[in-house]
Order: sequence, then structure tokens, then C-alpha cells
Amino acid sequence: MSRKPFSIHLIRVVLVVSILAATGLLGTSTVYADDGDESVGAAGLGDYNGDGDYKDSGDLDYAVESAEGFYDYLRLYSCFECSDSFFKRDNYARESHFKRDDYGGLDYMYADDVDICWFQGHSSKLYTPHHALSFIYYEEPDKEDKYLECSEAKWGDWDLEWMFIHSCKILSDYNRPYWAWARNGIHLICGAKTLMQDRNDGGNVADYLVDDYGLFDWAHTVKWSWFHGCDLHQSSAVTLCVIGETHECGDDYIWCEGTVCDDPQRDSTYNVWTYYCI
Amino acid sequence: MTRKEIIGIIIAVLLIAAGGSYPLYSDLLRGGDADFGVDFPSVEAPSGNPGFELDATDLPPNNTMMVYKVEKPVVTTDSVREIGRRLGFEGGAGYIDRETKIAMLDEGAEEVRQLSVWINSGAVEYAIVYPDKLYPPEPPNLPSEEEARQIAIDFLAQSGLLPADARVGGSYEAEVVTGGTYAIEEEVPEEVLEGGGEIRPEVVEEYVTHLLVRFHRQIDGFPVTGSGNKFGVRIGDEGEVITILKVWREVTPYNEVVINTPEQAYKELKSGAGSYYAPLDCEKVVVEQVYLAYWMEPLDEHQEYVVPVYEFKGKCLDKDGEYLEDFTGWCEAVK
Repeated sequence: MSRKPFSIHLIRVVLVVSILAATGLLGTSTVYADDGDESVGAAGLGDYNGDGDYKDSGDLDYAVESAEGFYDYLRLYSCFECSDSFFKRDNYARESHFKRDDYGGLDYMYADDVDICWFQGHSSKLYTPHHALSFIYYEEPDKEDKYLECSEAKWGDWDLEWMFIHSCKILSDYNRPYWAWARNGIHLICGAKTLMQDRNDGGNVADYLVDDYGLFDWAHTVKWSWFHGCDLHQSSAVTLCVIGETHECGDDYIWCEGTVCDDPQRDSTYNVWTYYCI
Repeated sequence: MTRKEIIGIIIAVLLIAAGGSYPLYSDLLRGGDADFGVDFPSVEAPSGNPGFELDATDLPPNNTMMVYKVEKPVVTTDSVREIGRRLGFEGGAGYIDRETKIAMLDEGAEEVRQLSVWINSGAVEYAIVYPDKLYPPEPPNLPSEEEARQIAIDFLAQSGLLPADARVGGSYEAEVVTGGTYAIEEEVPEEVLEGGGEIRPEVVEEYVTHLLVRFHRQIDGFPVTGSGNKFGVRIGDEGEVITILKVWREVTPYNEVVINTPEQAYKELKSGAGSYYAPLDCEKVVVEQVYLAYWMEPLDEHQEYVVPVYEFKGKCLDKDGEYLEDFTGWCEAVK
């Protein structure tokens, strides 16, 4: 296979932006282009114990460590060094960071302003029709609450290519058709059809994504990294799932590690890959 | 030496002997100073607080169980090269991924294979990492379940990766299941997006992409459970072995310890001392099986002892008594 040098990646970005500018697509609300600055975002929520909705469920002991492990690894060992990168934990991770801007969210400054993003925490349908990502704290009730519902996510119209949701059932058969609406130029959304265990998987997934030592290491695709990185700790009861706009996006490597599909145009169908853990 | 001195020496010797033997007796009962605690995982969804009903028969009668000591794995570049040689790898081996593994790479023009061995556990991963044969663009020609099972056993035996004690009762405890699927789905209409309801996706196309052969380990007749209970072979088009993940820590008997009764363990589970997940709408858990199992930690962690736990299997029921989902819970067994 051919690995894509960073310079080629830059040329590609310039070309895409030029084409978009020429066709008048820049400046509209839908901008399918990478910004050329590789950045990573991560949110880990573990301290749910003080929260009224979750106090009986206990904390998640590994969520913060796992999200931080993912973030640190990409910052240290890959080209994801841009200052747009962010890591938020517990009370500092907010629903608005993942929420579409036309709903009052700030995703254009956080989740959708990075290339790759990791969320790890509870999900539930405690107060929502479908499983929603659950946050611990919010400050501005007119702009945010504690539950990111599928209709409030619209990812990829800014920068985001790959979203990892380490949480239960977001891509179950009943939730997947709804969460598929979060696609708006994003290449892949990685999650689970079933329950997920609170495990320190972030560093393992990053290990697979990045070829950090050269001679004996190998960068794996985003899909492979999610499946195999989580399978190291998750039980055989767990079924992982990835959805993507096109089949080609399923072969994506992260930036600087291999080929990346062209930013896809959204349509009414999506691709689904499932993986049954050992 | 006077008679008094002799009696004094005898008493002193007896006291020392009694003092010395007490910890051994204590070890048998309580496991001594060794840490036999288990780190059960939580689930990333809020759990309900259901009622419990015990509907299990044949509760384990054991009063004591053996704790096993994990033999420290010897993982070196030479040992990894030896495994690699049997899999057709050539060349050297070296550390990767924060020096948690030693790996070999076989980069051919059409195919890339990788072998990795974890330092902390000796776990082995073999994979054809390029191209992606787990998810081929066209439906693959997969073997039958029986063929897949035999392909996995033959491949493992030829490459020296089939442990001698994987053989149970004259046969291999291997289960063949779907390993992965690919589908194209149609999204739901936007007008129903904000509503409730459970709409299943409309599938345009779907096929199984590979099979998974899972090997189930037993120790002294008891099943192994936990995140480190992993030994699987993924098989794709035309029966090709694509990946192997084998976590198989070598263990030796360490100490016989006294354990809780199943009734005590069940009581602890209900009180929240163990670990379980039940969905929020689960009104009642019916526990149908209670058995002893050995807990194996994840492959990247150092594990010193393999200890018994109680595993509970059953089902979650809603307020109408309708089945919701399967239930699994754990509780420590060692007193």
C-alpha cells in the first residue's frame, strides 16, 4: 500500500479548498474540507457519583484515564499537534462542545474543530427518546443540558473526520438509524451496538492508529483500530459497530499514517460494519 | 543442662513451631497476605435497581478452591522470533507501542502481516493487517462452521499456538460464530428523527464478512471469565486465517483457600458488593445459573494470581414480566 507523506496531504487540502472556493461552496453552512491542521479532541466523564441522575450507578473509574490516554498518545506520537486540540474531563466536558452550532452548540470550536475525537462516558435514554451522550454539568440552560441527543449532533461540516463514542448502545439497531443523522461530512462514527464496559481502551486504540516506531510497527485503519483496540479489554458480549458515509471511508487511516478518503457528500444511505468481540 | 533448662528449651521450640505454622494455617483459610481482590468492570450506562429471584439449581458445593499463581511470561526478541519463525516470519523483532509489546512485521508487495506479543501477559496477536480481509468489498466464500473450527485448530497446531490444555474431554472447546458483518442501510425520514419509537434500520444489502472461532478455556474443570478470557481466530474468504488473539497465561497451583457459599455470594450480589448491570426498565432479575469461574485480567496487565469468582447468569424482566435482555453478574468468592 502507499502511505501518504505529509506534503501530499497538504497539497490535497489546498486542492480541495481551491475546488470548493471555485465552486462557491465555501462560506455556506456545509463545508466539507479538512483545515490542514491535525488536531485531536477527547472528553472523559467518570465522576458521575455526585450527579442526581446517576448517583445509583456509580462512577466510571477508567473513562477519564482512557480518554486522556487516547489524547496524549496522538499528541505525542503522531502529527496531531495543532493547538486546536482539546481534552476535557468530568465537569469541564460539556454537551455544548459536541452540539451543532445552529442549536446553540459550540461544536465548531471543539468536537467539529478537530480531526479526530473521543467521547467516553455514560449514555442512556433516561430523559430522551433514544440513547443520548450523558454529561455531568452544564452552565447555560438556554444553550445546553446534560444530554446530547442524536438530533443535536451534526458532525463533519467543519473539520471532524472520525468520531469515537466509547459508550453503550449508541449504534444499536434501534439507535443507529437516528444517530446516522449526525453525519454531515464526517467519515466514520465508531461506537457499539451493545453495552460497553468502562475500560481503559483509549491508549490501545491509539496504539493501533499510529506507526510510532517504524521498523516493526504498522499503522492500522481507523475501523481496525477501534475494533481491535477495544477487543483487547471488552468482553465477548460486546458488539462494536462503525458507520460511514461511503465504503471507501472504511479504509481510512488517520492523517499522516496512510490514505484518507475524500470528504464524502451526505446521502440517505450509510455503510455499517459490525465486529463481534472475542 | 538442668532439667528446668531442658523443659524451657522444649517449650520455646514448641512455641516457635506453633507460631511458624499459624501463618500456613491462616493462608489456607484466608489466602495469607496475597491480594486476591478482583477489579470487576462497570458498564457505561446507568444501571437499574431491580429485585432478584434465585431460580438456579445445582449450586456449587465447594467449600475451598485452588488459587493459581501466574508464571511470569518470558517475552524476548528471541522468543518472539521463534513464534514468528513458525508463522513464516523472517528477520528481527523489536519493541512497539510504548514498549508494551515485541513485534515482527512481514511486508510483502500484496500483503502485510504482523505478529505482536504482550510483555505483561505473553498474549499473542497475529494478523494480516493489509489489505483488510476482515471486511472484503464483496461477499466472501466462507467455510462451514465445522470446517472453520478445523481450520483454526490445524493452523494453531501447525504454528505452535494451540495450548496442550486447550483439549478438554478429548475435544476442543471451540465455538464458531459470526465475526463481522457489512451492510448498507437507509436512514430514517427526518420527520421521525425527533420522535420516540423504535425503528429498525432498513437494510439495503448485508453479508457476513468473516467467522470467529472462540476457544473456551477451563482451569481444573472451571470456566475462565473476565476481560482476559480471550482466545479467538478470525477466518475469512476461502477459509483463510486472518487474525489470532490468544491470551493464555500459564498457571500453577498456589494455595487452597476457603470460599463463600453461593448463598452468601448471592446475598452480596444483591447488596451491591459484586458487579452487575441491569437496564433501567429492568424490574426483576431471575438468576438461572450460579457457578464458580476463574477470573483473568486483561492482556496488557500484569496478573499475579488467578482467583475464583462466582458468576451469575440469568435474565432481566420488565414490569410486565417480559424478557428484556440477558443478565451477567460477578461476586468475589475468596473469603
